Amino acid sequence: MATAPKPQTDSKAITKEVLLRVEGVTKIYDGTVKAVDNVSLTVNKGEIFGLLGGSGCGKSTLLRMMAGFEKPTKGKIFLDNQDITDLPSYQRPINMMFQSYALFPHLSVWENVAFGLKRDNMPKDEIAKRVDAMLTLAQLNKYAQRKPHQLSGGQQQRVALARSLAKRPKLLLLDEPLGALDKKLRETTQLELVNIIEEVGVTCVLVTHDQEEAMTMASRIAVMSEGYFLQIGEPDVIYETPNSRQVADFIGNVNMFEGEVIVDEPDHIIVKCDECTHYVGHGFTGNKGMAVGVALRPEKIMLSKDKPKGEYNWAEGVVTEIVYFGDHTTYHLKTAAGHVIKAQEINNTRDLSCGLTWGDHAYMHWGDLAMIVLTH
Amino acid sequence: MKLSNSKYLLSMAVIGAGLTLAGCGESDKTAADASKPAASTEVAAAAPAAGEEEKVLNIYNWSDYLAEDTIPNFEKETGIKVRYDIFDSNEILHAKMIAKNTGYDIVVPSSNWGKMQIDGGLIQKLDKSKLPNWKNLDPTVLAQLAQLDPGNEHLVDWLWSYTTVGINVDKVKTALGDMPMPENTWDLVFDPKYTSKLKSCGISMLDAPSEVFPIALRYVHKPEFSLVEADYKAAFDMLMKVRPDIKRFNSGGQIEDLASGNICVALGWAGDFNLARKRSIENKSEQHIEALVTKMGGYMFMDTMAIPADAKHPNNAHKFINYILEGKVHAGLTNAVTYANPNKAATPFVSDEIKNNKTIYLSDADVKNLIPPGNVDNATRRIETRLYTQFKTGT
Amino acid sequence: MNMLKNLFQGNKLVIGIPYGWFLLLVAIPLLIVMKISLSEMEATSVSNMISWTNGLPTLKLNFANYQFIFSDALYVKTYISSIKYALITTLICLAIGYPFAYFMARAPKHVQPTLLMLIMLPFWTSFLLRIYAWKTLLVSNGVINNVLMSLHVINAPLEMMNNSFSLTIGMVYSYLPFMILPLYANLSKLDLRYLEAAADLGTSPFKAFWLITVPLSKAGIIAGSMLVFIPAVGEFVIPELLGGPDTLMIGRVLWDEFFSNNDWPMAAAVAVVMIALILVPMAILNKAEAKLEEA
Ligand SMILES: Nc1ncnc2c1ncn2[C@@H]1O[C@H](COP(=O)(O)OP(=O)(O)O)[C@@H](O)[C@H]1O
Ligand SMILES: [Mg+2]
Repeated sequence: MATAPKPQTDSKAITKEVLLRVEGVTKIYDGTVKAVDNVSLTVNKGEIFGLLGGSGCGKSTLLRMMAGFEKPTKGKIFLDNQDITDLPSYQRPINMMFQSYALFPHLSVWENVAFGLKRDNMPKDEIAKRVDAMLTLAQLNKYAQRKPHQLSGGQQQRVALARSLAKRPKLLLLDEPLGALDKKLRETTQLELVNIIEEVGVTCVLVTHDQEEAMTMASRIAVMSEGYFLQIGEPDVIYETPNSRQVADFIGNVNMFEGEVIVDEPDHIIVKCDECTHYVGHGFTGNKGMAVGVALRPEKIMLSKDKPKGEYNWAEGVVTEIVYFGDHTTYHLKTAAGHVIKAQEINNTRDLSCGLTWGDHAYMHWGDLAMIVLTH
Repeated sequence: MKLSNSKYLLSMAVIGAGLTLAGCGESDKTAADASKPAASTEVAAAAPAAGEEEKVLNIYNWSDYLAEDTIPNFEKETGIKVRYDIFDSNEILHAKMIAKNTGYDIVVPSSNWGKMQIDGGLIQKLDKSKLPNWKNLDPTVLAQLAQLDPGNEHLVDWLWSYTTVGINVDKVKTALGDMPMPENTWDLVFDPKYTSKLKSCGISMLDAPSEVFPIALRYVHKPEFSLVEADYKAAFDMLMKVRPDIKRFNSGGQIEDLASGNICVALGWAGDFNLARKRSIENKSEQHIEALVTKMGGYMFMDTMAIPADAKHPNNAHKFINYILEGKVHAGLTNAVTYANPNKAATPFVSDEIKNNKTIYLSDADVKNLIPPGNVDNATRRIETRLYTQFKTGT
Repeated sequence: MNMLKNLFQGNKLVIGIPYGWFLLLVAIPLLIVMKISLSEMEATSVSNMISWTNGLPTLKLNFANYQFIFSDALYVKTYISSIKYALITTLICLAIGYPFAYFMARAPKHVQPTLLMLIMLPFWTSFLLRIYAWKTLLVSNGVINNVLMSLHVINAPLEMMNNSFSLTIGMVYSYLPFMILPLYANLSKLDLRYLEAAADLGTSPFKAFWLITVPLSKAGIIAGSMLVFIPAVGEFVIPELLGGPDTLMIGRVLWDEFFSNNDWPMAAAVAVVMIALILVPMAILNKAEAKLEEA
């Protein structure tokens, strides 16, 4: 059988210096709610590790176990090869930036940032130096004496970041760091955040439900669902080669075709579906006759009014919807079998229509390495 | 005169109502008086034409101061519907009287308070032609009362008693040891020689300056109702010497404390001591309680019926007073509450046990010995209260 | 016309209601009390402040009562003593009530209504009865002494009644719910993430309590303390029933003025001074705090 390029395990971790290791951690709430289910992962020094998943999938719970707010029901957590599973949170060299910041409302910005340093009995002048440096980094000097409620959302977010970085933690945990900001602010802040984190050089675990955010910020991503990991890998690997229908579905837009493998060769396979026949230019772990899913990203589909040549990798349909996004346009086409397929065209000319309009009959075609064959 | 602590809650309500009234000026009509009995207003609405008085009587009297059948019999006899409210202290009654518009037709202040109310024009004169039973009243008692109410024009004694020393006989004997009982039994509470011994079994003093000072003044040979501040200082100095030996200041509750053996000597009301005695006998407790009749004399107090100046049913009120003055009715009161009555015609109906109790039915000589009810002016009362507060705090 | 229109505009009316309430139930009665305090007591009535001479009104204000209050050490001593007992009561209520409210607020959500109910349960019984119940517990032949004696813990009954001990117990007992309820309301709203954030930044739970929980519940502490302190200063019933002859409280002095001395103006003056004693420092405190907030 041919071997597919599917990174099941966390291969890069081996080569780098490991900071955090989570081993078979399970968390069960109230004896029944399994929030995290036998999860293992490693985070390397200096990387930003993203935990991505829908609401309620257990991301926060996992993060809170790293921070020490929850005790794992099973499993162990190591930091720098030291078992910290039973270490109370206030003794862990880990800091967290909370989902809605949790800035102390009765303390000024300056005091919020200094809070953790004071607990370490750091000399006063050093605290002052460190706090001022953090405020400079977060561009907050002007607001040092304000109370949190006197700041805008973005400013509060930067205070929270400054506070969690002030103690120079070995590990920084970010729980939906941008979740409370509006979309516009979020995009600019994403990069700002990454810049600051990289400037400080701290290792991060970032929790988010927003795949774009994860893609932009994280160097590696774990996709979570119902308490367990579906896949761990670099953003591009996960995007291009999801290992399951679920991941493919979750990361970006995808068209899913269900079919049967009719030809299984080491260098190619052929999958027969309702509306088309896929010729896939690589082998797969499976055999002939197997039911598989074929995932095809909309941007990989080209549209034309003329019937493509050959018998493979094309389909036809009627345009039912045209959604204009500025930089690209998405077309929805309904096939004879009744499925809707999305195709995305880059708007690199000012001719927006590419000649197609509602109700038009059109052909879609794609390359033989454009699709992903999913057995799960 | 029976005090209990619920008076204080009541008093707060009275303060509230009183202040409102006073604030609204002196007009008698303005106030919507919360303390006014509801019944009287209701009936007033359905009142018959002027002249004829509606068949209603509103009475304001001390608690536990009646025989069971007193009111029902009156209602049966006259067809007058009685509304009977109770109070626990002269102070509260007085505050209501000052505020006016009490809505009551009969009130029962102690005689010295009654005098203040007479002076303030708050009480109307009696029409003795409507009181054929007046003849039953004991002239000795009438004479005593006349000192406050010349000519007995306003007040009629309901029952009377006196402030004296009450003891738990056995406990006092034990505490005194070899020491014999003093010649003047007031020494038991006023002479450190005795109080220092009795301290061990508990001395209680009445928390009522206006009743303690007349006795204390007589004890230090000053006029009982002196208006001279120095006299009060002298009495105060005497009291302060025994202050360390006093366990308790009671306003009521001495009955319980004596009957349960918490205290062994009390300056209080003879009527209460007899009730404590009655109770400890009933409970078969081992406490042997006695009221003492002192040679020096105690302080007599009379609780007297009076008709407020603004009473709506003065005729009915007269009927009620006359009814009480019937020998049998008055005797019924005495039999029920062990307080003496001023009614000669009642004596045959009083139970032997009470009649023969020399601490309830005092001899004429003993009655003469008592300090008759008297009164002082406001300034002197302030001195009394002030010194008594100081006495109580012991500083 | 314009004014009338303004008056009936919606939001002015809304603002007007609490002010009207205040005027009717606080300001006017207080003014009446003040007026009485400036008149003189005649035999059985309060003097008229305004007298008419030759058809002209003359206003006669009598400040003697106030002078008297400050000339007789008794009043000053009593005010100090009242404030002392009220303060002690407040502090003990806070010391007991805070942990109480704290654990109530931390208890599982479904038992909290029950706990709240239990706090309020005593209110179903008459206040007077409950104070009397303490009497039966504390007197020398009362429940506590009897039990201790029969267990031979003590030989002679403890003197627990009619002294500052019984007074304090009674006051704390009666006012505790007024401390707990606002504290509970405040603490149950406390966002637990602040405590997590504190722990995250290296604060032990004990330290976090003092650095986060207590400062954040300041409003509850102030509300509870006021609710206890203010009525405790003027408390009358509890000192009367449970206090001793030497536990001076202004409520009793007031009673004496009113009933024993039959001197309403003096009683009113005592009350006015008491209100001033409580309100003035409080107003100053309030102002100072508001300023602090602004800065
Ligand atoms: N304290 C808790 N008690 C009980 N269940 C909880 C608790 N916290 C979270 N859960 C449950 O655990 C699951 C995972 O929650 P969470 O980790 O907060 O999800 P996410 O952060 O991914 O949205 C959810 O089903 C949630 O209801
Ligand atoms: Mg979450």
